[in-house]
Amino acid sequence: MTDDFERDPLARELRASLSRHAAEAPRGDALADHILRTVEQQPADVQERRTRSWRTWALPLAAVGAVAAVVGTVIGIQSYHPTASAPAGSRPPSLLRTSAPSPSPLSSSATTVGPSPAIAIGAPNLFGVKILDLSFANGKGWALASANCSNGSGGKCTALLHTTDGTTWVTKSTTPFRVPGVKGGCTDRCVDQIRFATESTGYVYGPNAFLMTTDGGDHWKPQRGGAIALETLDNNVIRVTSRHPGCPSWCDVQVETSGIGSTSWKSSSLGTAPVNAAEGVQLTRSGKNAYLLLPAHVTGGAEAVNSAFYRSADDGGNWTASSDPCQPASQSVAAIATTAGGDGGVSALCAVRTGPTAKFSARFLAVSADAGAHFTARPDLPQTADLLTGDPATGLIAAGIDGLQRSSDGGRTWHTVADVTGQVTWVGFETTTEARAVTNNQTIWTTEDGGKTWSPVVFQ
Amino acid sequence: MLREVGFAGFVREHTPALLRTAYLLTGNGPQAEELVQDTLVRLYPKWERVENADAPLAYVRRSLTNAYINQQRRAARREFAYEEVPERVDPYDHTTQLADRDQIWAGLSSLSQRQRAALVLRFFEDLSDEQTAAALGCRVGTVRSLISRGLATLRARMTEVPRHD
Repeated sequence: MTDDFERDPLARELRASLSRHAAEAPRGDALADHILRTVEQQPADVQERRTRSWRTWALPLAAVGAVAAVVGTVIGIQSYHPTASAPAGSRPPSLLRTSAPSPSPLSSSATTVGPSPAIAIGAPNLFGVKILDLSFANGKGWALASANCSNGSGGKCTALLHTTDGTTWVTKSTTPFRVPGVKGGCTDRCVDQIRFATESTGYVYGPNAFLMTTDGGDHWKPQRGGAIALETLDNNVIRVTSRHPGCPSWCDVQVETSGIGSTSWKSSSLGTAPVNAAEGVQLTRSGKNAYLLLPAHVTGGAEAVNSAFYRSADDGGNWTASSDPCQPASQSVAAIATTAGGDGGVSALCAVRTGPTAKFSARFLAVSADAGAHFTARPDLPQTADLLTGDPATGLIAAGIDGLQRSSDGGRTWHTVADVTGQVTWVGFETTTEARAVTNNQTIWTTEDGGKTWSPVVFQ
Repeated sequence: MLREVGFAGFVREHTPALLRTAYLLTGNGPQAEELVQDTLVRLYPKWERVENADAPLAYVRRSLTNAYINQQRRAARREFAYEEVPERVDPYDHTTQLADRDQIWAGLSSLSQRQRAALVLRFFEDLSDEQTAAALGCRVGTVRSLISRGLATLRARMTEVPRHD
């Protein structure tokens, strides 16, 4: 058979054609440099680089009362059967205890000293938990995750975790969707993000899948399309999709709006051609204002690429294209994260790129008090960050591979949070004082004092 | 440190070759660059495993090929998920055929990703059927079938008579 191929004149022509066209390939010198610089910033033990942040600001303050102080934390994992084949028997709750947070005044130094490290006792019946995304609504929380399958097969299964008090987590038994990294692959109904609008209505979604629940996550119904970002506020849902198969990279971004729980979506035009965007399209909202950031894609060493930024003042109905919030500047910079605050406040985390290989280095904040019309640059952050959440008027948190930093003066000065260690893969405020963060996809941290002190809940 | 040195050396030495393979798979320069970068960055955290492989370049090439095939699968699903009515494409687009004098190159785009990968590995990389099978993660018989069907499709494309109406 092999000899037949070699004797085939078409095979010879194919060989010649491939050789001829291979010479048209990019040379690769600049790409090699860019790859090496990319991994310079990536620690060897970090394989999950995708990070998330809560993009909707100003959830009802009533949620504050729904979350009790984290004292003598107890976490329970019950009825963990992430696949239909897994045992359905209920399991006794397992315990995880943390130390009580001891409120400490903000230090004048650059480092915030929080409570002593938590004494975490992992859940004995649930192993290998990897938290992908979190969502809280009215004090109730949901975590989209994967965990070791309980049938002993050795693979990972999809897990949807739920809490009513922020500390005790149980698994939902019905997960008619899959998450990346599970046994058998994430093909049909593959989702990687979750958002709840109310205690009952929520969404799980990925680029090609979109499911909605109206009973708190007990049952899910597939919906049309998919989403790469979604936020809910004021009985309104905005979702962002991309019809371009090459996204991230070239993203033909579309925006749709809907009422909470509705299956009917209305398109909103951004009025632009496909943009070259990186992974991590972000949507953030406050009041009627919504902001959409498409981070600049610098693969291949592109040097002069800015992020695309859009503003809406009517809950996503109409959008205006704006320049990169981090421009103009004397250096090559691009916005990589954004967060909305009250009274027209919006901030962007700016990454400074040096050299033709587009290496991101320093970070600084650009803040706006007029709904994104004008931005003012702040001094550099003390360490790198990829996530941003909060309000310049009340408190900001920047996070990333080096942990958490917080600012209580609109980004002018930053304090490193010493007790939160590890790579922050998700962070978000629920009220002006209460926030959550996830480190290493495994530990959920809660603060109730604007980020001064944090208490962990550890999954093993 | 050893890993960093090994990785850097590999990247500098083999990125051009991997780019050529990626270009032949994707038919597009930017996509080829993205494919190579994504593959190498993804492999970096487990580079020790790559270096311990019998043939590190073959290991990386296999990852690159799988990434290409999986990438195309995701793209196909995404288009389908939106339930759009696809525009009808005239396979006898005479203008396009005249513009592209290399019908073999143009015909590669009509193959499935696995067929195209098999042809590129077999006739550009000069891999044996067994090596191609290892790169694609399938049996030798499957590779021969992919190559045979790929060549048949290319042959059919080349014998098509342009329509002049």
